[in-house]
Amino acid sequence: MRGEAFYRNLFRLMNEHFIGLKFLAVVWEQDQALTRFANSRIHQNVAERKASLSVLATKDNKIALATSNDLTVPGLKALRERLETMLRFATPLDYEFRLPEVSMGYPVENVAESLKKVFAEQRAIIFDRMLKIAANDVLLFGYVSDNVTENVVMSSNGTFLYQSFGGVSFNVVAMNESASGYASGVAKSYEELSVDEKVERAVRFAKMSRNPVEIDPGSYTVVLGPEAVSDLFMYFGWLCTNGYTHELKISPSAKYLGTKIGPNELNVYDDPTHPMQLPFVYDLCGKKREKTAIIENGVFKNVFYAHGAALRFNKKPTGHTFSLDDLDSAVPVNLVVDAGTMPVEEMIKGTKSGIYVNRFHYMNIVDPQEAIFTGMTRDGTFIIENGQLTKALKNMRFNVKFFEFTQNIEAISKEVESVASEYFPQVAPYMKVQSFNFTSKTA
Amino acid sequence: MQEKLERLLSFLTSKGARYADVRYEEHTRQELFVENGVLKSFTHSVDVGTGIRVLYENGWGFAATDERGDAALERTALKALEIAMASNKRSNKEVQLSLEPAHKAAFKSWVMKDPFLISDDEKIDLLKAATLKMKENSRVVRATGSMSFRRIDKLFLSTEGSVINQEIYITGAGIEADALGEAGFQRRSYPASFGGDHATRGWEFIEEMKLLEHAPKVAEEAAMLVDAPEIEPGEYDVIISGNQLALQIHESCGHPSELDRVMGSELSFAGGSFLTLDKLGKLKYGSEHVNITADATIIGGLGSFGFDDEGVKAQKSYIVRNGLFVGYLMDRQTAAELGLRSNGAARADSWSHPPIIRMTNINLLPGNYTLEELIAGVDYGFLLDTNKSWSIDDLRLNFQFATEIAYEIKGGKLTGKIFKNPVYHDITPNFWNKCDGIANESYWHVWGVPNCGKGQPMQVMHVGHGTSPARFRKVKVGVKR
Repeated sequence: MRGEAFYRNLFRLMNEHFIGLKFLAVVWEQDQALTRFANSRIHQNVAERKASLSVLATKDNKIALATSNDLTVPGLKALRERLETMLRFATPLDYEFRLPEVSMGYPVENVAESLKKVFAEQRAIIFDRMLKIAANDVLLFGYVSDNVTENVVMSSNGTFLYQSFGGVSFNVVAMNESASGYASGVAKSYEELSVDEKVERAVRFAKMSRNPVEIDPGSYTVVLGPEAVSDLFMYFGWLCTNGYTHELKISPSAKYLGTKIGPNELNVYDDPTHPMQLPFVYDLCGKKREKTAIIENGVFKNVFYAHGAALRFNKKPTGHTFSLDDLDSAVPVNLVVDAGTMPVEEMIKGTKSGIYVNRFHYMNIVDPQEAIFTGMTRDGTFIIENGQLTKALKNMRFNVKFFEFTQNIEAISKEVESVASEYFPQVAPYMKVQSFNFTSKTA
Repeated sequence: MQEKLERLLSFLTSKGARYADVRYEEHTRQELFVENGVLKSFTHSVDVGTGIRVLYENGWGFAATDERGDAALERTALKALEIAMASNKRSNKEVQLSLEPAHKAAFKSWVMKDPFLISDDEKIDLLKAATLKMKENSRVVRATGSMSFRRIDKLFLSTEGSVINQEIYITGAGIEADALGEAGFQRRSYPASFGGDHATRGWEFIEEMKLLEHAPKVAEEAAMLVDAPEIEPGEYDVIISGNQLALQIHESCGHPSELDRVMGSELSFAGGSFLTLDKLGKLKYGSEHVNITADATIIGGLGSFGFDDEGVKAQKSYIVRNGLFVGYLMDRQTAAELGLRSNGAARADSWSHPPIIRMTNINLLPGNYTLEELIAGVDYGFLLDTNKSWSIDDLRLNFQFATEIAYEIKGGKLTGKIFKNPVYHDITPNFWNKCDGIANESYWHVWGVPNCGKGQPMQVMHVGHGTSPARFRKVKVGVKR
């Protein structure tokens, strides 16, 4: 971590070397380390440290973006030279472009002290704990990772915002011959990371998953675990909450925004303030991010506007600009699907006949107009009979229209979990859903 | 720089490293994105850094930094060593590397026109013209065009004495039209979806695409698709176009043949593989028409290079020969476990990541048919073109693909009728055993897939797939609901 003081100095240097050029600049600095294991052995163990400075310059309603990881004065001079050349060739935008308004704020530091100096041995100790839980019953596959990120937003109109955040995460697949179970976890430090209970669950599911049976594809009542729920809502977030495609009417939101798409209990937020989320307090235009409803009391309430889309369509930017090379696209990065009221145990007990799905695999969008998603089950799929998980089930493919899925939600659990996703963590409950459409099986 | 890196390797050897390699890389990238004739994004980036990989006894460690001073590099080397030592403490398996001679060599992509020397005006003008041409169609609400150019300069050194310089160029472009009507919206793309086509070539690759000439048809088909019907679900004979087959090969042959997956290294993330060791040389992966190679030596292929990131020379090997599964993609460690030599598939997407097993150019070799002959052999079926969506299970068996368009075939001829939202589904070996004809080499093209994700931390790799259109009998189509 270089810290706020280093970047204040960089800001001073930028103002010195970018005189006469309007700019918005973003720095990402990352210290990340990851220990990966397979067959209960560490097979990959890495650390990377990198920083990048991206500068968006504007002149005569044209924009250009140059990025470098050379933060020295010669590096800044080279960036400016590059931008001047690009702006000569660039052509004007078709809307009036303005840099974001000045944004000032106190530095936000969310890095646990213990994360500032982490050694490979600490990740290995977590791995040792997992092995102990697994005993010799199953083989473990997964990772343990920690990272510290610094993000700085600066502009020629005076914006200087510094935020840092750190986190740790893991995932684990427990394998018992060809049977498997999965769990993942996220926290702000290793001290807060809940490993044991989740690894125990993965091991338990692996053991339960032996001798899976097949059932015919069709429509079934399902109880989805938080990993599966989180995947469905992540795809919804990507596809359906972008204000730009909404305005062009090439998003499902054009049809569904403002309509009741699920039960009153369904509440989904983009919430950087949630205690189980990693706080991303400012977006890359320096806009303060706040808890915003996406679905409230079952109604699809809001789509989001990145800086460019907001200017173009005369909307207020919502704090969802996360890429300077695409100022139009907005995405919720702190997705929280709110808890309901029913304990998960009761949810399963109340299911006479159904399927429990722990996790999905390789989801994708089949039809972007109707938000039809596909994917496979994996690592813990079970038949529910008379309120109990009775048999393991071979993996099945689903094809689900998201807005029918939400209408079919019967219950939402009072328990929520923070699950590790590819980018930011997501917070999600269990859900009981009617008429979930499985279209094929892997025999 | 070379001397500095040699000193690092000597330093690591003196500290007890059994093996080490170091990669210094400079990545220069330019990207342009035009929408409806307006330049919306114009970017240039330079990314420089060093990655150091250490084997200490039987534990691996890797550390990378973008700092350039001697002290920072030494600190990073020590970190890689410290990590390797932590790995070694938990290691209960001997790590062996397959033999590879020390190479002192240089490689440069086959570039006729350096894209970084082409004026920005020319690039922007072409994209503007192509998008405005598409926008002339009144149903097109969004016409986009993009170009991407990369130059990767790599210097690789190992404690075994290799010193390899490589200069790799990547060039790509594509156009897309989004059409809107009362029945909804649809997209067509050219020459492929999700950013177009890419190759380790120069500006000449863009010129050959003839983006402007193709723009009207792209717009017209997008507009027509809006009101087009969907295919009645059922089993049909299908001909799959080259750009869709590229992804079919990618997902159902390329990934499952990665030996690290087979051995479990990817299991917690992207999954394992049905091509387990017992199937090598025994599984009838496809029909006798199906020959699939891994070939990093193809001129201009997006997965082409001189040496992989373990310093293994680029080569060609078979994965499937006459339908039989015969080989894996391997790095030095996994090859040694099978008593084989690496076939040069260890690749890293950046200086900041270690090499892992990746596809190079995974190719379906051409057959003997013309496209007309393939179509003539279909009583009723569809020609499926341009990928829209993909999904496959964690063993790479159960797949489902959607394409942008289906062209109807009746009585051995294209009828001119099109269908929207086609989806097809099968189980990998069943599917490839249904292949009864592949178009000849005049249709063969190496498609570039620039965004293959694998590994944790995630690495995004550029790979290639040589394909001709091919025919498959009785495939389930129209299964999305």
